[in-house]
Amino acid sequence: MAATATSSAPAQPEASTSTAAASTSAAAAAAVFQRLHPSQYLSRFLSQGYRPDGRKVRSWRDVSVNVGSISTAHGSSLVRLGDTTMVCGIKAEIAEPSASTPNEGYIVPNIDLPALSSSRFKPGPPGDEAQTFSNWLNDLLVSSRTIPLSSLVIAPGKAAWVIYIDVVCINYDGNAFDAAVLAVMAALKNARLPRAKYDEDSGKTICSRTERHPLQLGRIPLSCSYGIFESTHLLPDPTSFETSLLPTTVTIALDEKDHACLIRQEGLGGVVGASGERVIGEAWGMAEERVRELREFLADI
Amino acid sequence: MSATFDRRRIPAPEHSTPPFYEPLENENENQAGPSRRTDRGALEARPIFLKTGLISQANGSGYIESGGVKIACSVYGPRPKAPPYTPHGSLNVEVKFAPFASDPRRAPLRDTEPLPLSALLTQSLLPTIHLHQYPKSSIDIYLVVLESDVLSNVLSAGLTVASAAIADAGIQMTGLGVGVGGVYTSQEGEGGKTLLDPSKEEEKGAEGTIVLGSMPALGKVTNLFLTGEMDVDQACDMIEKAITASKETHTILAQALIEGAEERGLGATAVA
Repeated sequence: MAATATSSAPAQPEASTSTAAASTSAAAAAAVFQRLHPSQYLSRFLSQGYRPDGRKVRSWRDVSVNVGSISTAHGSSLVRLGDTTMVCGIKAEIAEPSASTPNEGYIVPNIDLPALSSSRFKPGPPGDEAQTFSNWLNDLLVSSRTIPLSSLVIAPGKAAWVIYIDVVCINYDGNAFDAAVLAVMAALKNARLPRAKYDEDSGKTICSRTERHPLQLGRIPLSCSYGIFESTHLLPDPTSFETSLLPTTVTIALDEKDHACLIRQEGLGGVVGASGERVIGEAWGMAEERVRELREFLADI
Repeated sequence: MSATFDRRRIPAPEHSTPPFYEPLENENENQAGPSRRTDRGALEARPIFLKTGLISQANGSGYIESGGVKIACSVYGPRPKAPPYTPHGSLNVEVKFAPFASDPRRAPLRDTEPLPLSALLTQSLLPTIHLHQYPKSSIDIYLVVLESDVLSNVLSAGLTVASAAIADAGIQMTGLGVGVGGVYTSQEGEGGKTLLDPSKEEEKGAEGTIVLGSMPALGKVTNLFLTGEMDVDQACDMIEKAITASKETHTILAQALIEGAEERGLGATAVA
């Protein structure tokens, strides 16, 4: 970041107010400029073909995936997407299926963006952003049938698994949804449930201490998000700083066969000189490539 | 019985129970000595992993793994506080458990434990911070527990990691606060024994629990939380042992802070 910041920022007339030592004053001036004119700050980087965090305009951030580190969960994962850090824990409990769907279990996905993760969130119940993401995640898991609900039944009408999927953000640096989806898929692949048997006489479900089995999984969607800056640039994987400057966001989730599981565009679409259709097509093309990269992280779980 | 309907989260079935496991075959073996410790000495704590500065969005942060506890902590502040004017800063501490952090699962809203925990942590941290240096400001400390075993360990690890995060944020302190947890059990040795950094089984079989917050560098106790039944002598003995152990934790904490400072390029002046 420092290298690119100093290369473009000293040219700013605003920077001339600072009179301290050359390199530190340039960095400080760039920081002031970033705060006062965030939009111009970003657009000057983009005109040079770079993003403020040093990557190329059309590139993504580094990913790392780590699974099974939380012993109190049935499955868990820690995903880092640049500085954004997400922890997902899967807990399985047993409940009676609802009367209308005796052959189905439950999945309960929730994303929490606690006050710990960024100063933009307040303590207390989930805020708007967290609620939106939870709903998106629920839509994604239900519509793409990632976990077939019928596979969660222990005894029809009597007992079924409830899969609680809780994602907690530890560090929020933008694009929380992509990181959350990746964390959920990694944790689902990592999860092991005990073998359960429903006892007709006592009406209880007894679980085995020794036998464990993985979840039966269907399609595994992974998502890619973009922001559109001033109708001029399509920016993949926006950071926290960029997010507030991007009125339009596009999210595309694809499964193994590159079939869409979720496509969402919020805000005015299109980029100057390209129709909305072409922009979505472009985003889709980039997503296919990115999702293939991301899948490699899930391959050996 | 039915909790207020939660519109902010994805709805869950009204009742669900954690998995019920078949009885153990060697039941007696398990009950014989819940406090018999073989893997380490009675006063020996499990290794602690502590790192500062992992949460880039916060002014200061820390992450601790200690025994069966994993906690992330971030500090925001000193930042401007809404009126009314106060001559000194205000300290807010919020502890939150991730739903998967314990067995059985903690359902949001029904979880009542974090409140008293936050209050205890606030009391332990207050003497360590120079709040009078920060008029009109608030210092917000958030802890998220990602994995937990027993309460005393959550409290002691929480205090240690919060101190690390406050120091990482560059907030003026009287001294580094350190937490140590322990249990007293009469089943071991003559006249009972103190076990520090207890495991879940050890706490189950224990008569008393202690959590001691202290500033080892100044030789001062900031908070003492002792529950259960024991003699005065035994209580004093436990406190002594906890104080001795806190010095070791203090070394780990100080080391983590130096490493964190070096990573940010502040190390040269701090060490030399």
